[in-house]
Order: sequence, then C-alpha cells, then structure tokens
Amino acid sequence: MDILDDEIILGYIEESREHLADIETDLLTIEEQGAEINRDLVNKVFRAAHTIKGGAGFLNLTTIKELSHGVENILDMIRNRALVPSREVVTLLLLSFDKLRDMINNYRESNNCDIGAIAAELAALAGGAAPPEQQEVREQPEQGELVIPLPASDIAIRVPRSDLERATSGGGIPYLLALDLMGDVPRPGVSLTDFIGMLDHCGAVLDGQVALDLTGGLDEEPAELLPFFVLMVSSLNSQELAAALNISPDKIIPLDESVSPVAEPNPTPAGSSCIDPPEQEFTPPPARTGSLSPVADHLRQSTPPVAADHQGGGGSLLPESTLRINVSLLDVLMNLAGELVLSRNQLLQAILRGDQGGLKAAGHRINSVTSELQETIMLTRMQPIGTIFNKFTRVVRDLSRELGKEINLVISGKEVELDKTIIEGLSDPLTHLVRNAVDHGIENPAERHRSGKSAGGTVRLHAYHEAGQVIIEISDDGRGIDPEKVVRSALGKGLITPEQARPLSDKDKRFLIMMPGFSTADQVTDISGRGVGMDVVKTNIEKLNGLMDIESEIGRGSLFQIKLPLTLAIIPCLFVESSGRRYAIPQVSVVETIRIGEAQIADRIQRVGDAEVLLLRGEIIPIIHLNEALGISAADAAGDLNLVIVTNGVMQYGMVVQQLHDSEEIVVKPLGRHVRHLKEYAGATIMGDGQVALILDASGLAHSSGIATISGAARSELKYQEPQREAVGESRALLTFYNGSQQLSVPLELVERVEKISAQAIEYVGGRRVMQYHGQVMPVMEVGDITSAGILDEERDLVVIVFAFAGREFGLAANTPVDSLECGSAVDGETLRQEGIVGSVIVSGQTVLIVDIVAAVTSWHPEWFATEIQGSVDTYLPPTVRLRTGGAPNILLAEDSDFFRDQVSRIIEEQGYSVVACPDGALAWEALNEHEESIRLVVSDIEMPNLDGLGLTRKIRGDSRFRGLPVITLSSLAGEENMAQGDEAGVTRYLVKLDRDELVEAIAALYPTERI
Amino acid sequence: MDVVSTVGEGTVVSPDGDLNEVTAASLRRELNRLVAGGCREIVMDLARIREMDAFGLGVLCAARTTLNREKGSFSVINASPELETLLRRTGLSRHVSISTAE
Repeated sequence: MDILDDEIILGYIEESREHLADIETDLLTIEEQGAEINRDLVNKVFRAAHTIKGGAGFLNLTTIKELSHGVENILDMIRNRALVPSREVVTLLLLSFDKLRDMINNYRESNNCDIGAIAAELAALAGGAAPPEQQEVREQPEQGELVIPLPASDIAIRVPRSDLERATSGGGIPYLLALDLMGDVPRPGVSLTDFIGMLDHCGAVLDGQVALDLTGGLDEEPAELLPFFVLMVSSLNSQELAAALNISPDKIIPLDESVSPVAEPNPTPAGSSCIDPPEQEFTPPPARTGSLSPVADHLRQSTPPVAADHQGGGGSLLPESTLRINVSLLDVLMNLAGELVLSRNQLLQAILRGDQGGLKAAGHRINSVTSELQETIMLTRMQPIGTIFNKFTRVVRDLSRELGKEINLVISGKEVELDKTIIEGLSDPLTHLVRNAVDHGIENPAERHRSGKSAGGTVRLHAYHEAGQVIIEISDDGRGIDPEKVVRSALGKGLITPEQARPLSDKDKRFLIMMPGFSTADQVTDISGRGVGMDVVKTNIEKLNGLMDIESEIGRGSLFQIKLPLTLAIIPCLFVESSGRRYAIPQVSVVETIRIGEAQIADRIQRVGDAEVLLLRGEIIPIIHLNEALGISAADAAGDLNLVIVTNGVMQYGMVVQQLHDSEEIVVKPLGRHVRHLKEYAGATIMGDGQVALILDASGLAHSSGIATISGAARSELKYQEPQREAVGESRALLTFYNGSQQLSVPLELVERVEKISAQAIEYVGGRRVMQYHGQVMPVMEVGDITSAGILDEERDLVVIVFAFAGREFGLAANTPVDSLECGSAVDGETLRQEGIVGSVIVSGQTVLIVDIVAAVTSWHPEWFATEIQGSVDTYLPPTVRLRTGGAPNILLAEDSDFFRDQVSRIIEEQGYSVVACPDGALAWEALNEHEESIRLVVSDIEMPNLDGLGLTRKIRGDSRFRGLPVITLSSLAGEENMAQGDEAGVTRYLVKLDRDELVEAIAALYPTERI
Repeated sequence: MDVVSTVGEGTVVSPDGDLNEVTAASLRRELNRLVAGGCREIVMDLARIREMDAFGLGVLCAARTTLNREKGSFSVINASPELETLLRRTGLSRHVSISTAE
C-alpha cells in the first residue's frame, strides 16, 4: 500500500459500501426465485463481489480479496445454474457479505480477520467445481508482491514490490494501461511486435497480461476484443505516453496520485471502461457447456459498474462522510454560484460608484440568490427512506427463521425523502420496532392457527407525507398489546404503583411499555426482550423532534406511528376567511385556488349521496364547507364560491371558504394542551394585526369530515390520535435564533411574531434602540444587553422577535436562521444559569441557552411594571401543584400555562399572600376543598384543560361554602362576549392577562379582610 | 498450410506464414477439430511463423483455455526471439510453456 494514497482507499471503501448496500435485498430476491434465476440480478451481485475483490487485491487487502473470491465462485455457479440458490446457500452468502462489510469498514485490521470457517464453508459448497483459472488466482500473493487483479478477469498482474520500487526510484510514474489489442493496436505499418517494442521504448514494462480468460475457448465464437493490461513505469506524463504509443489517453491510468491526479480512485471501473468494447454490437456466443464464465458475461460485468450499480442505490447504512448528489441538483447549485458572483460584481461596482440604486438592486439580488442557494443546499441532504427500509427485508427474514415464524414484510413509501441526519437517526429506533413486531407482535404459527389467523403474519412498514410531516408506521397483524398485561408487568417490576395505575386509560397503559426497564415478553428472548427497548426508541425519536404513538387491538395487531413534525418554525401559509375568522393553510397542502361563479355552481358542483363533489378538469373532487367542518355555522351565503383545493398527500379535496387572502410566512405556535386533541388544527399563529389565526390541518379536516380515502379508512382501523402528552412526557416549544454565532432560544409561547428587518430599521433615540413597527415606536433590544452570549452580527440577516408584555410590544434583534424545536428532554435550570439565562437544553448534541426574556424586559423597562418583578421565569422547572410559601394558602391560582402560573404566583406572593397554584380547574377545585378554611380569593385562567375557568367559577358559585368567594379571571380573550359569559358564570372581576398593576389592585380591592 | 503431425501422445501443429486475422480463423478451426477428436496434448510449432497479430494471439489464448479446461496441455515451441518477446510481454508465457528456436 506504500504507493497508494488514502484517497484511493477511501474511494474503494466508498464504492464497496455502495455495492454492498443493495446486496441483501438482491440476494433475498434471488433466494425467492430459487432455480428460476434472474441472470441480471445474479450478475449484479456477482459484479459487486467482483469489484470488491478487484480493489482489495489492488490494495493488498488479502483477506477481503480471499473472501470475496469465494463468494464470487458461488455466485458464478448460481449464474451458470450449477448451484440452486437455496436458503442455505443464500444464508452463507449473506453471512459472507456481512463479514465483508465488517472487514471493509475496518479495512486496516481486515488482514488479521479470521475468515477460516466461512471460507471453508464457501469452498466446501463450491466443491471441486471451481474453474482452474480461478484456482490460480486463489494463490496467495507472496510477501512483497504487488498484485493487481484485472477488471472483468480472473487474471492478475503480479510484480515484486522491489521491482516497482526500483523502477519508480528514478522519478518515473507507474501506469496501468488497459488496451484492446484488436481494437486499439492494429495500425498500418505497426505490427504487434512493433507495438510491444514501443512499450519498451517508452519506459520499463514491469508486467503485461492478456485477459486470457476473456478470449473464450476454441469452440466459441472468436472474441472481438483482446484485453491487454500493462503495468509500466515511465518518465513521460500520461498525455505524452498516449501520444508516443498513439493510443487514447483514457486507456492510461496513472497509479501515482502525487504526480498526476487519479481520475478514478479505484482502477477497476476505470480499467473496465477502458476496454472499450463495442458492447452493444457484441452478440453473446450461443449456449455452451462447461463451467467457464462466458465472455459475454464478463463483458457485461465490465460495462461501467459505477453507473449501473449506483442508480437508485442510495447510500448505505454505515456512517458516511460522503454523499451522492443528483447531477441536476449540482447544476442548479453551480448556476446559483454563478449568479452570486454576478451579484457580487454588481455590488462591488455599485460601491465603487457610490450608486445607491445599484446597491439596492444588488442587495435584492443577493438576497434572492442566497435564499435559493440555501434551499437547494438543504435539498442535497434529502435522502429516500428506502435506504433504511431495505435492510429490514433481511432483518425480518433472519428473525422469522430464528423464531420459527412465517412473516411477510410489506414495505411502501420507500421514496419518501428525509434529511440525511434524520434518516441516520431513524435507523436504530426503526430496527427496534421491526424486531419487536416480529418477536413480540406476530404469534407463532400454532398460536395463529388457534386464533383462526393464517399461519403467516404480516409486518408492514409504511412512510408517507402528511401535512408537511413525514409519518412512518410499523404495523403487524399479531396478538396486539394487552394493556392489562402491560400494567401487571409494570406493577411487578415496581415501575408504577397501583394508585398510579388505576386512573390510566388503555392507551396510557400501552404507553407504559416505553418506560425504562420494561419488557412484556413472558420469556426474555435474545432478540428484543432485553428490557432496554422502547424507552430508547422513544428517546431517539424525540431527539429528532418526533412523536410516537401506539395503537393496538388485542388479537388484531399493533401500529406504531412515528410522526416527524414540521421542522421549520416559519412556513408559508395561505390565509382564508370563513365566518369572519381567518385561518392559515400551510402552502404545502394547497394545490390551487378556484372561484366558481354563482351561475356555474349548479353545473360544477354535484351531490353524490350525502357528499358534494366538484368536477374539476374531468376529475371528481370531494368538497367540504370549512364553516360546517369546523362546526361554526350551517350554510355559506349565496354568491360565488371560493374553493381551496388542498391535499393531504394521499388525496385532494376542495374546501369552500368565504374569502381568499394573501399568502404569508408565519410563525407556527403549537396549540395549547386543551385544544391539542382537535385534529382539524395543526397549530396557531399571530397575524400582523395581532389577531390569532388557527392553522388548518388538511388531513385532520379530511378525517373529521369523513372524506378520507380508502387508505385512510384502512388506517383508521387502528385510528390515530394525538398521543397523551402526560404519557409521552411534557415537551416544550422553543424558538431558536442566533446572536452572532451563538445559538439561543426563547420560549415560543412568549413570541408574538418574527419579522425580517434590515439593520437600518433600528434607530437610536435617546440612547435607546427603537424601531417603527405598525405605526408605533417599539423598543428593541439585543441579547448583548442582558447577557454576554454572542454578539449580534448586523452584517447578517436580521430579524426582530416581537414579544408582548403588559399590553406592550417590544422587539429582540437577532440573527437568522430562526427555527422552532420541541425539546422533550428536561431543561437544565442549574448548570448554565446566569444573569439573563434561565437554563439550557441539549438539542441534537448542542447546548442551547434559553434567554430570560421576562427578566430582560423588566430590567430594561421597569416602568412597564409598577414595581420590579422579583427573580425570573422558572418556566422550565417541572410543573407541580405547589405551595409557594409556608403557612396555609389564602389565594388559589388556576392557570395551565407554566409560564403564566409562575409569573402570577410571584406577583401575588410579592404582595404577601400565600398561593396554591394548580394547572387546571379540576385540580384547583380539589385544592379549594382541601384548603377550604384558608382560601379567600381565587385567581383563575379561563382556558384550561379538564375544567375551565368558567366551569370552576360555576362550581364555586354552586357550592354554599364558597358562595361569597371572590373570583378573578385572567384571560387573553378580552371581547365583550367573553366578559358577558364571565358575568353569567359569576366571575367577580375580569382581567386581561399579565397586567400586573391591575391584578395587584384587584386583589387588594377584593381580598376580604375577614373570614367569610 | 498448417502441418499436423503426431509425436508420442501429443500433436504438433506447424502453421505457415503470418498468423493474422485471415489465417487465425483456419488455425482455430484446425485446433478445434483436433480437440473435438480427443486430442489433449497440442504443441504449437511457430518455426514457420514470422509475424503474429492480435487475432493470432487470440487463437493461442483460446487453445490454452480450452486445453486447460479439458485438463490437457498446450505448449509453444520454436518461437522466434521477436515472437518469444511478444508472448512473454503479453503474459502468455506465464500460462503456456514456450521454447525458442535454436
């Protein structure tokens, strides 16, 4: 390996991995076909083994070479129908390829690998049938001998290393010449002997070989080419050598990278392409007997293996440092790079000339080119999920065999693309889930027979897009998960107490399998029941910002669904209006918008049974009325119909809305816990005018309107519901941004909007930064004002993150990219806590600091709050019903938002009261009963899960003990209608959230001085 | 014209003239006929051969392949120094025993 550069080895490894990537699937197909082999497929696998062997010989990886040679022999026998690819044969081949993969991944140690057993098995299988030529090559190279196996041939060039060193010591370059003596050499006046003489003139010929085995025997049609390989050292460069020999330069492969770059790191593909056979014209010889590889096959193997094998091959499962990219994508990138250069020139000229207009134009151009560049680069990371799905064929085959089960694996949606990092992260959890399905899910044939099922079980792997998310489902038709059994097991292991188990729903009980240390198999098997499964799966999925759901029916099967959520916080949406309310539809779901004139309605819209359908370009599309679907009002007003055609990835349907508005980029905010179960909505956003708009979920709406497709109906057998958050673990949404190079975050629930701004938009007035925003002056600060985490880079794209407190808005200037994330993992409120920082969270291995925005505002604009608020937000500490200060509590607080609960508690405690704070109305009611004696005032939010503020108030009013208890409600809903409802329920005072002064004043005024 | 004679167990084939695209075909047929007739030991006498091109070389390769497959033997005798160089440079000498003309 002395003369070989690292790049050659890496090229070989990369290529070998690609060859290995699809082999399992191919081998399993070969096994299925049995004696009726598909020659092309066998050839493909043969070629893979052959190429691996070729490179290994070249790189002196003798063990790899030996094993791949053994494999090649078997494949050759299969190809020649001398051996039927039975289950045993394929198993041996699979094991051999596994071993090869291991050795290639660890090539440095590969020569020390023990392949004795497997090689012996291969040899035993091959028996004495191996052709003599191949046996020759099986000789081990002698110590100090360089062996270059020739492409498409079992012949190798062998040169003592010392000869090569001697020849190259004078500064010569080693070359491998790949020639066709019949095609390249015959020229008038130059005989073959003359040509050989010319070789000697041009340098030192170390070895030459005709590909003897490619010429065929006497009884075959004479081959139309005679491949001839020469290893020589010459002081000429490859161009000069080509000219001197009068051959094409692409027939010459320099072996020394330092002098002249190697076009192809592995000489095998280059060499084979150099043979240059008139492949299409070459008719394979007629059927023959004997075990020798026919020429035609060799030719086929030798035709560009790179191109042939890599199409649709995807990446491999192994960690990779390189990525295969579609050339057209690369072209787009090149064009964009060109555009960028042009824009730069434009910019430089404008700067030189001091031309303001030109500067602006160049700025715009750079802006658009940069955005496009960013998007395109993101695309290069997209990989089909098939790369990990494919490996499960093997996993399921091996497992089912080991367990004596019959299992049919059905894979669909291989083409769904995901970011490369997500794909890599998914591999382990999916493997676990598939193994679980095979091991625990599917029953053994006898058990299946008893329950009246077919002996063979089915495991399905399905990936699809839905509402801009990727959903992966692993389902089986096995025994299902028995919630009672799960609970018994959890109790037996002491994971939960009987008290905890009692209130759990079946679904909650099933989720217990994701607790650390859980295993349901009666017998812990080697395969999946090691008690370390599902919690790891869950953690891994959460790391990818994904959600997991389990559906199961005893005796019918289980469905594990992984939902990878919208990764970007900012998505383009189309705004529509219905019944006076505005809704956002993610642009990814929108296909087109249509207006149908009143006169045309009767023609275009028809009724089929109960459903309305639209005739659109000959297609029938179901339609729904948005206001009906959301249960707002019964009928649309007469007049023109505005329709949005949306898709849920599977089907299209029309949505009748009152008005169509603009498309805008919006910040997605997750819905509160109490409305999260509404599957019609994907989230919410705050519009420019401060109003909240709900984001519609196209597939959720389709489901709730009953127009889901057949595939949807099939899925609904195991109906999907948003997982119970308590069971999955509380996750929190953060908006991440950059301050210079430092990534920071703020709680997403505090963010009103994010706006792109230019640095000039921020003005300095009276020593403070402000910007004009919606006709008002809004104070703007940056993170540097409160803590030393990064420095804002004003040269980069700026955004202002708008927050609202106490009825006022203020902005935080930040650098892009802005993104949102759900952090499932616990927030660390200790380690990195400092002034201006509440804590940190680890996201994809990186620590992201959470900025204490409330403390920042209060220290910056204390006048907004009459007196300074003590401390800062403990938003991220675990929500509990807690007693804030010693002594019996005298104020009951019900508030579901951790953030507001904390804030309001503080405000009240500052006034000297003792607070009991509860996350919902039901718990508040319990707390009230518990502290019946001491509580004298109730402060409650309106919107809460389980029991809302108005419900709580009604309960209080309905109980004689609390009739006189003052109830203050806090809400962000300040409409008159809401107030009227509050009055009706018996609310004493109705306040708008987080107006501290008003709250303090109201408590002071209403707090009874004596016990009622 | 090719001359074929039998010496002991082996058959000596002595082609005449240049071994090129035209003559290679007839030599191939001749050799094939011998093998089909059960001959397993062929000696190629190159004494009367002056030039050999890729087609001629191809026939020698094919003969070696066939006899190797049939567990027979194939050797070359009386090669001129030029032809000997050619057979050596093309690696055929590694698979076929070659002796030069005196």
